[in-house]
Amino acid sequence: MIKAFKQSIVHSWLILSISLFLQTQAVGQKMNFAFLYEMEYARDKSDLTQKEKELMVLWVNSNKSLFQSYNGYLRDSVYHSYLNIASQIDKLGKQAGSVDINQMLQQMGQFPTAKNTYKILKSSNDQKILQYRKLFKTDYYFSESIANLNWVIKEDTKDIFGYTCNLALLDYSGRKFFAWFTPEIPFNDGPYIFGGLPGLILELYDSDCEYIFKLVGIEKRTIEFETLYPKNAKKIGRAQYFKLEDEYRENPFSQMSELDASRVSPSDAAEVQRKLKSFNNRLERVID
Amino acid sequence: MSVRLVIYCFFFFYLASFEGHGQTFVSGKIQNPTKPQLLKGVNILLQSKKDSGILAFAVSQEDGSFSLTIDSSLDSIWLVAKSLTIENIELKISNETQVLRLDVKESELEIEEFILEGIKSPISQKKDTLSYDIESFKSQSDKTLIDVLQRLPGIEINSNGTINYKGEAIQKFYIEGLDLLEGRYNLATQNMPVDAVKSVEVLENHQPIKMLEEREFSSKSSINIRLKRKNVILGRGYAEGGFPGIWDAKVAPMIFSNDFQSIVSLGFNNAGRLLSDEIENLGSDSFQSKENLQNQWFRPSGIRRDSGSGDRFIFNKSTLASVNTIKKRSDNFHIKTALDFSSEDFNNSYQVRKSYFLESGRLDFLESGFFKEKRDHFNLNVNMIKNSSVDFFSNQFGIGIFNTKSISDLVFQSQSLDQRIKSPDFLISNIFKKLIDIKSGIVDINSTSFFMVQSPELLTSPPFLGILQDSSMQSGMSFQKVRYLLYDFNNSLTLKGLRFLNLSSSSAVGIKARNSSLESASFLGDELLGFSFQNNLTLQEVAGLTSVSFEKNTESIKAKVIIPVKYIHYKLRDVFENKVLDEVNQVIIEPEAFLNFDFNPSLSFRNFISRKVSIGSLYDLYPGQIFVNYQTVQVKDAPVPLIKSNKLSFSQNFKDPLYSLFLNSSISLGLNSRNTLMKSEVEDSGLVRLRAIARDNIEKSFSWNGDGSKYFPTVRTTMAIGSSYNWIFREFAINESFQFLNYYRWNGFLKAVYRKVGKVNFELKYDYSSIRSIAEESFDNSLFLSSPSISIFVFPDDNQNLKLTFEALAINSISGSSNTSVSFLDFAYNYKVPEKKIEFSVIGANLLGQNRLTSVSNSSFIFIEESRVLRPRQVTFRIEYSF
Repeated sequence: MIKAFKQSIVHSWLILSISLFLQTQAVGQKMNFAFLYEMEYARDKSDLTQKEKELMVLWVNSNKSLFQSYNGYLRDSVYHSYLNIASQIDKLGKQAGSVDINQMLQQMGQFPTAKNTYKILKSSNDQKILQYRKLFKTDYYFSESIANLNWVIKEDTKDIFGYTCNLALLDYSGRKFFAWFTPEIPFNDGPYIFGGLPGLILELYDSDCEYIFKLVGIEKRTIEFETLYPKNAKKIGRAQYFKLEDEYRENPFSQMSELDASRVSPSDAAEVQRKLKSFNNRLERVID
Repeated sequence: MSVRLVIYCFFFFYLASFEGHGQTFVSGKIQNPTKPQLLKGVNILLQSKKDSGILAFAVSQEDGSFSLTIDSSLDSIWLVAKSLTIENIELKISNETQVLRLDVKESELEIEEFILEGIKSPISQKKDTLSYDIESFKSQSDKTLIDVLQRLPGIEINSNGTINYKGEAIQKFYIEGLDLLEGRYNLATQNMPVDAVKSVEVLENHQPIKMLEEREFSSKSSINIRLKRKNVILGRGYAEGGFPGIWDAKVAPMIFSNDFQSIVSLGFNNAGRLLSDEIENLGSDSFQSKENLQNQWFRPSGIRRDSGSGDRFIFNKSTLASVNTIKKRSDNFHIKTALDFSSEDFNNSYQVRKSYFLESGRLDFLESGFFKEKRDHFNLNVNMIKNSSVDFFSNQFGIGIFNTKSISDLVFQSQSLDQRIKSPDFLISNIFKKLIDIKSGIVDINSTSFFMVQSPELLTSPPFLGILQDSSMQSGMSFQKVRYLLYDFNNSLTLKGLRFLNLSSSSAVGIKARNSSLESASFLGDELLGFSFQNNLTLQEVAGLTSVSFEKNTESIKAKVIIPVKYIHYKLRDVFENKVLDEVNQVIIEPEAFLNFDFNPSLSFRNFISRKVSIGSLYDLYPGQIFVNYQTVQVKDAPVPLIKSNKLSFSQNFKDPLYSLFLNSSISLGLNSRNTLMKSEVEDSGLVRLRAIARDNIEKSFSWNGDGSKYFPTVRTTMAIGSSYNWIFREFAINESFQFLNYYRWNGFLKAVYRKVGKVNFELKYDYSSIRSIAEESFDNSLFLSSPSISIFVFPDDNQNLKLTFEALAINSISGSSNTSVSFLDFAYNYKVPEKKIEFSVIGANLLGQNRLTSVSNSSFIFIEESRVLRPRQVTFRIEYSF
């Protein structure tokens, strides 16, 4: 009995040591792959020929990945670099004053504002997909399972940038998706929430070609993964979030205090409403 | 037999039993005895061929285990194992259920990096220049440059037209690389047709002096406008006319060529719009705001244009002619000129009832009449600039002439009075800058000189109330002259390119010298009044300033402390008596601290504490009496006013956007101490003597603001409620009686707004205020204001919009003589001709034909009711065209 208990203790210690070791590796290892995708999408159902483009990035490390707007990342990174400077100054107990907020804002302003502000975090440990989304000033997040993506792999192959890619099909939220993935890049990942295939997705589109993701670059980057997504986001159900987003598109003032709302002139408000309402062709066509 | 072996055997037989049904189960483990971290996340594929035909795949678990199922009739299949950290494994195996153990070797997979070119964005970045492609941002409703500028990410436009980039005012506004307007860029932003603009460039960290480009970092930004066509004449104009006799017209032609640019703006109107706002200097250079140094020595009777709400009261004639040019003499040498003339002519009929609440009782005075004012402004600026990488020189010379004349034709307490004020101000300024390159850095020589003379005159007939000796003087007149001279010199020599303890960005030094003189004299008819009505003073001021700041920023806490230290030397001298009246040498510390704290995503706190010290100028220091108008005489024979202000404020914000609930609250506490007090003496005749006396006194204040709003999705409506409360306690002196005033103001509002996207929106609001002033044994005055309003917005399509507004105001008081109410109905309809540069508007104002508006104030021992004639019912038609 005592022996079994001791074995169990030793076993637990070993598991703890290994997991701590792995964790240390993960934290220490800052070198990540950055897979850059061009996302082309039709945002307005009433004019599906009108397409917009945005450069997106998929950061991948050993057990996590994050998909976001590349410009959004650039703006955030300026903010975090200044935050680091400030915290170093505090730690060293030096006099502050060298952190110039105006300079920080100017540097952030070098990069265009992200058109798509969501951030999608996939974790291979718990097989979860966390979507971080922002409405006006509030960050929300909701989760879904990677296992829910029931891919069907087809025989078809094609060559993309010299990589042999296989075709896989998926029905997701009311759309049929075609993904070209390559086992030669052994990441089970891809753009947006998509992943779980035995290789990186290099190209993905829906059957109506309203959402097209194409790989346009691969880089190795040293980044601080933990700073990429908001820590103070509010948890929400997936369906509840999209309901809230629908309401926001219908009336952006639903996420604003009346004090903020009254600063916007009625004609400007109408313009904003018209624009927001034209963002009506969501990738998730059907919300369960 | 170990338990593990039993389990393996069980699984083997269990899996083998399915073989006869055509399904093959392949399971196993990835193994590496020394590197357990290699085992997880390996892609295991079963393929029909070595490099294609994926039949099934799995990803290995933390312990390296995997399992796959296939349904294939092939005799043999390929097993491929790949990951970033192992050497690839490719095995040909028989298509049968089996358990495999795969020994893997560590290896790093090389993935070739690449980036495709040509991913275009409407915003592009090249070094420090950010370029906005205007076509991507403009909308059909945009007319002039300002309409699209305010929509560009990072750019904000203030109400006066100032352009801010990332919260800071821009330093230069260029058109095709030339700084034509020197901060008066309203002329361009409000007149340039948006269709002529190709792109807007934000020049970040822009150093406008080429010599300093590689030597001195600039954190400021500038804007450069790129046009679609070169060597072009363009512009915009409009004409508006309507009932009753309203006209408004403006044209703004512009020329842009390679070595010459010009913007001309010509306009006039009687529609209540003040065109002189267009030539306001919005430059970030503080010296540009030299007009702020102009004192207002006399106060006209009547109600001036800026004391009302908007255009409803302004009966005006506004004229503007502005010509701005820049000529490029060579690549690095430019000559600029700006010549402006503006004239604002306005008039108003009014009635003012003032009630003074004294210990001895109440005194009422009634004044009514017609007020007319004309403000002319002439301005000339000539600027020569040499700006090359090896030489910089700049000299800007400016002349400003302001001439304001007002006539008040009034009746005061049944007595007719004529009061005239002339205020000619003359300003000359010269700003010189030269940079000299030396080996160890750059010598920066700056010299700014400023001279101003103000010679206002006040004439009343009959004479000022305070000097009327008997009724025989009723037919006479009185006259007063003031002459104020100001010399301001600011010379500096700075060695740039040096750093001290690496902290240069957080400290500042400066020095300023100023001399001013004041002469004033009053006359009764031709007779000069005695010394008590005369001044002959000089004031010398020297000030040095240094400042340090500290700050701490984390994700949830932002704290900053700023400590400016000033040394000020003041010497006030009486020229008549040739003696020093007052001398001040003081070191002043004005610390400020901010602490912002985000408790969680829903709750945040903002806190602020500060101490400020302000010292009066010659305008606040004169022993001889000066009449401010026919009724009021002022003397400031007291020590140099020193006001120490301490302020503490806390604000709390709660938001839960999930339920569309927002709550804000702020509390502010103030404590001001002064060494002087303005004492009022009110006589039965209506004469008011204001006298600054030496007396330490304090003012305490408290204010609270709170508001909340909630959006109701089912009815697409936001409901808002808010309230504010203010309390001020201070000492006042009237007719030898020193008393304490308690002032209370409470405001509450309710609002409902329906803003669904579509054809019709509306907004309902009800606002209520109560104001109470109390001084024990003297007065207890209360005032109540209520104001309901409704606005309806109709958007039939993208080219048309209609706004209809109804608002009312009711005032009740237990102290005033009148309880008034007034209501307004206005509308504006706009139609843009699709794909054309022309648009039409119909504007209707005061459709209910209200004649008069009375406003009331009771902030002290004076209860004031001001009544003004409103612009009549009016309907106008407007056509706008750009070329």
